[in-house]
Amino acid sequence: MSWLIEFWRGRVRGTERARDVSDACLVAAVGLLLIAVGVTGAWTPFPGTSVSPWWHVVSLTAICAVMLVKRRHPLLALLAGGLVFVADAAAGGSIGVLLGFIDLMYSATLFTAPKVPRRLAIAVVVAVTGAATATVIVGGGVQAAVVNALQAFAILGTPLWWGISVRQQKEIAEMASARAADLQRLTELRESEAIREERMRMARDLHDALAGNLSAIAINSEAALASTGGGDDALQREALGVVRSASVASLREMRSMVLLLRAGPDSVTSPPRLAELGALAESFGSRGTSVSVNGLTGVPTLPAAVDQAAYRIAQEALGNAARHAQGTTVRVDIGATPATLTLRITNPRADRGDWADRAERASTTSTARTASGAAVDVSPASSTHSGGMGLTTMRERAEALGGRFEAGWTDGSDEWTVTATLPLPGAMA
Amino acid sequence: MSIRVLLADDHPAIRSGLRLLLQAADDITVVGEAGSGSTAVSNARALTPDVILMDIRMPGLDGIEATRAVRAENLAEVLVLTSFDLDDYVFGALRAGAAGFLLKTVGAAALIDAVRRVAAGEGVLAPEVTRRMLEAFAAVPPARAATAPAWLDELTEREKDVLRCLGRGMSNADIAEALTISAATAKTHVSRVLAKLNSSSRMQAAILAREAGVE
Repeated sequence: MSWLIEFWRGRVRGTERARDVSDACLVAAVGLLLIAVGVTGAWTPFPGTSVSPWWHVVSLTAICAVMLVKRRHPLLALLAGGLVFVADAAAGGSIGVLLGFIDLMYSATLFTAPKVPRRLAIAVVVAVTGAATATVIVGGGVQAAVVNALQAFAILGTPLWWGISVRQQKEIAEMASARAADLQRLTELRESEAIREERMRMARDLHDALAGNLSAIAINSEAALASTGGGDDALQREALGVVRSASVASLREMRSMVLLLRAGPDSVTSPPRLAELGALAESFGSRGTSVSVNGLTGVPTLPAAVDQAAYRIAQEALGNAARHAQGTTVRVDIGATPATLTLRITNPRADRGDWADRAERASTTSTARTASGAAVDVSPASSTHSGGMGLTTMRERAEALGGRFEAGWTDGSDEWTVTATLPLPGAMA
Repeated sequence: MSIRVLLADDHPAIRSGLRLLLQAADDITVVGEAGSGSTAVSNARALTPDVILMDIRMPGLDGIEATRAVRAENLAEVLVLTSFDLDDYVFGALRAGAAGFLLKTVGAAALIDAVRRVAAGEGVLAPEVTRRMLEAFAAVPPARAATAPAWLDELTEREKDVLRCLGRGMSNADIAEALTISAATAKTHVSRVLAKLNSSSRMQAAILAREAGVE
């Protein structure tokens, strides 16, 4: 039985084309059956026409053939079907052809341009009144006129009405799905915007570190050249001169780079480093989320990029924890080997369920004051505040440095853990 | 009479490089260093330098805020030394009362000269900055006498002459020569003008002069 349903849904009614073909076949089958059992003569034949009921097979075949093109040429099909219907009716009419014509009327309403149904409605009104008037003119009397008008309306008006209402439902559904698609697109845009901003910020932070090193080269090479004239060795002097001019040129090029990367005035404080984590933790504490930081003292001198990224990841993770596990204690564990820096932020589950799946959006920047009175930005680093977004930017920061990033519920416990592992280059300046 | 200098920069290698650069000048002594804006302010209180070489981008308190704090207490002259001459840095620093703005690519001789001039109460701008400052001024038509600020009436004719010279970026020696007065008198006039304008640097006075249409 189930294969039959499967076959019906999948093959017989599976595509638009299949539906059109099966519609035509069904009408043909029903029509043939009715002719076979002798149910014909839907209308009074014109006087003087007396045909074998099997003549209706011809008109039935014709209207079913027309039904095959109802979707591509709805109005043409309606016109052709109308002619077949009139010819068939003149010969007494048959139910099969009537059914086919009703289907063509419905299709003409459904598959045409938006303005067509209204015109069809006008045509139907004209046809119905025409039927009544014609009946009166040929001397059929008022009663017959009303009956004919009602018949005409039943045949023409009902499929039109039905088609119009189906069409409206379809339009409403399409509008709703278009709006949903727009919303999704908007959300995606906003997320990509936030990720782009965060990337810019990363790039700016790295440039800052780079500019510091370049300036150090420029100043020290100048100092060496100035103090001794670069030594007695002409080669050394020349090499120093090259170092100096290359660093000056690099800084000049970097200035263009920084201008490109800046979106409006930047903050003039340099990007925060991991060493400032204590102040950050303190400021979170003052807002009801206590943060314990372990292992900060054992951290060696880090490359600027790693240093900045570690701070930003911690900032983002703490911001998420403060939002989703307000009032709990968040633990930050920092571990350093000569090869890697590991950052682990753990917070217990609050009573609010799994937040990472829920996209919360509230873009407020929160600034807190530490005991020393310095303002600390304690909002997560990314501009949107959905857990998912923050995870994306944290992952990007870690992976940009060739590191690894994991976030999730720890197996068998109610703790959310964010882990970032950042590689440390062997030689450190 | 040595010029006492404090180095404020968050990059240790830059501080040591600046130390090396300034060693060449016998009349300049580096009296201390600071790795952040807040340290720069507290060290300025403790060490009483004449000139602070101030970086802009520093952790915590940035160089512009630190300059404002230093000038508010009149602790020292501030010579900003930064990697990039971005507009908001330049104008931010000068509004905060910095007496000079140089890039870290500055040559040894130019840096030593700048420290001496700032210590002597003059303003120093990196050439590329000067050009942009002039363009910025040219873009904003100076206010006419109709909207002359109240402080302008408090100046004597002589002081207005001095302000005009300041607006042209002249040093004390230049002003003395232009107005045919002694260098000491010029210096007195300049400090009186700065006091009346309630401005903390010659650079600020020059900006005010331009904005008030004193030309």
